[in-house]
Amino acid sequence: MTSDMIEMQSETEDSARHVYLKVLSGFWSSYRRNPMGIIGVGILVFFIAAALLAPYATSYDPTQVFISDILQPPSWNHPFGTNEAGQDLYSQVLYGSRASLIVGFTAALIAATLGTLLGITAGYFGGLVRELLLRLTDFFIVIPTLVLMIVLASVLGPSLSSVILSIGLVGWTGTARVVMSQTLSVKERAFVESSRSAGAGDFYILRSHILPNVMPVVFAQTVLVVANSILYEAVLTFLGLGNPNQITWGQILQFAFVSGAITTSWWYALSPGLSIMLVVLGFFLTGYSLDEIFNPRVRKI
Amino acid sequence: MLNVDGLRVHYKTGQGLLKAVDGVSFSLQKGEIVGIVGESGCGKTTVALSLVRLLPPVARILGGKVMLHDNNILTATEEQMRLVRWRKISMIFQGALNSLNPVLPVKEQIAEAIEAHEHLSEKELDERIDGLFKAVGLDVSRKNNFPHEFSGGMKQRVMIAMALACNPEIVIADEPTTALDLIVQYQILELIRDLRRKLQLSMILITHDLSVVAEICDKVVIMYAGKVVECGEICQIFEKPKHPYTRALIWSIPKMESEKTELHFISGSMPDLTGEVPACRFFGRCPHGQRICGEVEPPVENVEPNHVTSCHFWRETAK
Amino acid sequence: MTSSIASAQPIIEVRKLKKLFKIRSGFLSGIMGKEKFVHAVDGVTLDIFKGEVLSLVGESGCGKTTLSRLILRLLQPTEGTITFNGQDLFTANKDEMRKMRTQIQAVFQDPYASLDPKKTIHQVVSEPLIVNGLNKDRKQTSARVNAALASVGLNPPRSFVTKFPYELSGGQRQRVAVARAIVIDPIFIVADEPVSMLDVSIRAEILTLILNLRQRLNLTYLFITHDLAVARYVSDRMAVMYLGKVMEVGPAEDICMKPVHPYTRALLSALPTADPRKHHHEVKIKGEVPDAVDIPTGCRFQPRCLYATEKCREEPMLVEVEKDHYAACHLKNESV
Repeated sequence: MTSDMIEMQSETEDSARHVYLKVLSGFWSSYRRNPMGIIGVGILVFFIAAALLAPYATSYDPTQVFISDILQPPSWNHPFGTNEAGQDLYSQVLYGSRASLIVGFTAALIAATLGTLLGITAGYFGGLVRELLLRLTDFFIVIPTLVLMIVLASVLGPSLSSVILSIGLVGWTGTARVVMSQTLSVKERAFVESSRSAGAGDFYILRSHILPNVMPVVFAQTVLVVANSILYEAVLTFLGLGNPNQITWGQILQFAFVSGAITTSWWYALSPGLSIMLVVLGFFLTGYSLDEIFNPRVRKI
Repeated sequence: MLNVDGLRVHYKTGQGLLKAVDGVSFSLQKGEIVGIVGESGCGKTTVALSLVRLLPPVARILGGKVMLHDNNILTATEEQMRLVRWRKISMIFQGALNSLNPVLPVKEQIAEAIEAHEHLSEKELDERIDGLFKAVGLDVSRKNNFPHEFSGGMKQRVMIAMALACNPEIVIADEPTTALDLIVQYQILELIRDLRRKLQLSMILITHDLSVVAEICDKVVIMYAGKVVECGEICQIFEKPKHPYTRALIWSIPKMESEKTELHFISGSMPDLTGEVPACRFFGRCPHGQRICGEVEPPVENVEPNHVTSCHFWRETAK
Repeated sequence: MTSSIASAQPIIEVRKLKKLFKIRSGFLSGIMGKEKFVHAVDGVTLDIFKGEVLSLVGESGCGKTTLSRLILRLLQPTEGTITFNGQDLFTANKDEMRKMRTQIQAVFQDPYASLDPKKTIHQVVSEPLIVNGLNKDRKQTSARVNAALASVGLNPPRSFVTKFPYELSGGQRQRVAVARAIVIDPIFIVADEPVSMLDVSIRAEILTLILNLRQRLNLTYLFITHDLAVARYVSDRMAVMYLGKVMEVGPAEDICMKPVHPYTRALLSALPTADPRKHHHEVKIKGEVPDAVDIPTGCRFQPRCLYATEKCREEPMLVEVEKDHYAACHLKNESV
């Protein structure tokens, strides 16, 4: 090994890191010019921080019962009020954020992976494969999403994982369509043809060219899928299909409804409801800003 | 008829201020075809867009005058511009043949262009469109066809018809033949020559291809990095080019008539217009560059009537 | 830049090659058996000799791009054969195919689209090595990539390998495309309109590079272009195509100085001259390029030819009009 080659070796390692940083900083400089996107990210950072730092943000255990404080409106001790069991709603919302966000992210991950795989396959390979996948996608689109999720969740039994699975296995269609159309356009591009003429096989092209060029679209789409997943989770657990022992925002709403307190105690549904709204807003704002960056047609210049 | 004087346009970009056009002056007489030639990024499209005030929002016109007859286009209001665009000056954009709406018959697209600027009755509209089709050499019976039913050359004729829709005095064509095959390019250039003769049309032709300019232009403006380096009548430029860049451009054209000769090229690339630029923008790529070229901007000097150049050493370098 | 044909040994032999694309016709015509085809390549017989640059010249729709895709094996022929160094391209076994793939490479037209925007220059240039399993040794791969970049004039290679395509100019990107083509040490390169999308003033740079590499690396080129002036500058021999067939083929200088086929003459006369004094040159041709679906019987150039006669109802074959210069026209002997 000559000294030239050693130099080149370490340069390649340095350069990989350098390239990585260049990509990130390029992305950030476009992103930060979008005020809505910054607000969106701000909201998300806030909620994720709240979820992570829950034990430090409240001194109560969410299941702790304060017998004398049943159904109390917000006060200094209980900023969000208490529920019919005398539990502190502030702690419940705080700890509940963890489950809600985890369900949202996990379900979205499943949906995104499924959607991307199916979308790329349908887009890249034509013929029978594409026809079959298109029919499959159409099937899932035509049936009302929520109904399907409800059916699936009730079949799988009341638990958080069944909620995650129902959302993930039903919510992939949007991603699949977007990925398929992007794949169709990417695979016609000259660099794919170049690659093929250099001898690349289908699998290499899918992995090395199609996937990286499709990821930006997936990313922007997934952010919206997460938002929707969090909403669906709230709906499913509200309908009683979740695990009642697991605190999520939807679960809080479910108890509020079931106990009848939802109409009499205005603060009960307010905090979980508002939290869901804000998180979803955060995701949508972020998602639209990402779309603006990644989708060349939407960009202004 | 049209006088551009000291036009300066900058773009606000993420990397800083891009001095796209930095003091461009030339004039266009009635019935003349002026060619603006330069490499990609030299500012020629920016100049064209400035003449019709269709610059993107990030552009800032910093100075200069564009006098159309006696009115300054740069200081006109949007209301006034609406009367100028298409009726006095129209434009064929770069790659325009791909911007035809695929779901509308071409007749309707031309009608749209007319109706945006003038109010005509059904009958007048029909007659005008038929006339346009004939003028550009298209079969009138095809006016209800869709864009995809036309070849590249025919689409370009449609674009020309659209540009002529409101009988403008000046047409600006940005790279009208770049995407076309040889024979089609010849036919379009013939058409332009024809139109100039029949309609007394004045035209500004923007291209990176000097040989196209040699075919139909009367006057040439050579641009480099936002500045005009040489400007003159077509024969003057080709017989007695005074600026090293002009000469390099001429040498880089592969010629058919004579014995095959060595093809010259200009190595390097244009300076980054967002950063520090040398006083003479061509400094660094110029084979004759000396210290003064980097420090003092070369003045615009008269070589002969109607022929100017800006180079410190044009007298010495001319062979 | 003159160079005689290096050897009389053809590296590529195309024989009676045809490629037809089916047009999706309406339901009824499908039933009635009247299917329509686009005759993209309609019977081409051509040799490419080792060490030469052969240009394939013609307008859009003449079949030159399809022919190049067939040679690159990105398409399967409908009829006919292509052999590479004696080996049939389409009946080769896996090992032979693998070997051929490393010997034939391509440079494409659009410098903005032919490089994956998400890959660094190093990744782009090393792709042929990766795809053919030749990148086991990372240091050696880097060395080969750097050597290729240096060969195309992108010096120092170090400063280019970490860049992304958007950071380079059109001319530089095209150089990268050439570097990618040579990194695997091929012997034959297909260059599809490599300079059409570049400014006229930088074309010469790339063309000179192509010729230099031919000398240094003993390459053979198939150069596709619609611009005859470019073709003349860069090639030893030229083949003019129209509607899927070769109309004229021979040494580049002969074709440019003494064209025989009316189509070739029309193309030559349509070239813009860089001399403003020479104005009116008439192009002797009529009509537009037809689509390649309903090919006229007899000479396919007939509908556009100003000199067509009764004889042209019979399809002309390529015959030798002078040494090594062939034309497919019945009127070759008449002075027009």
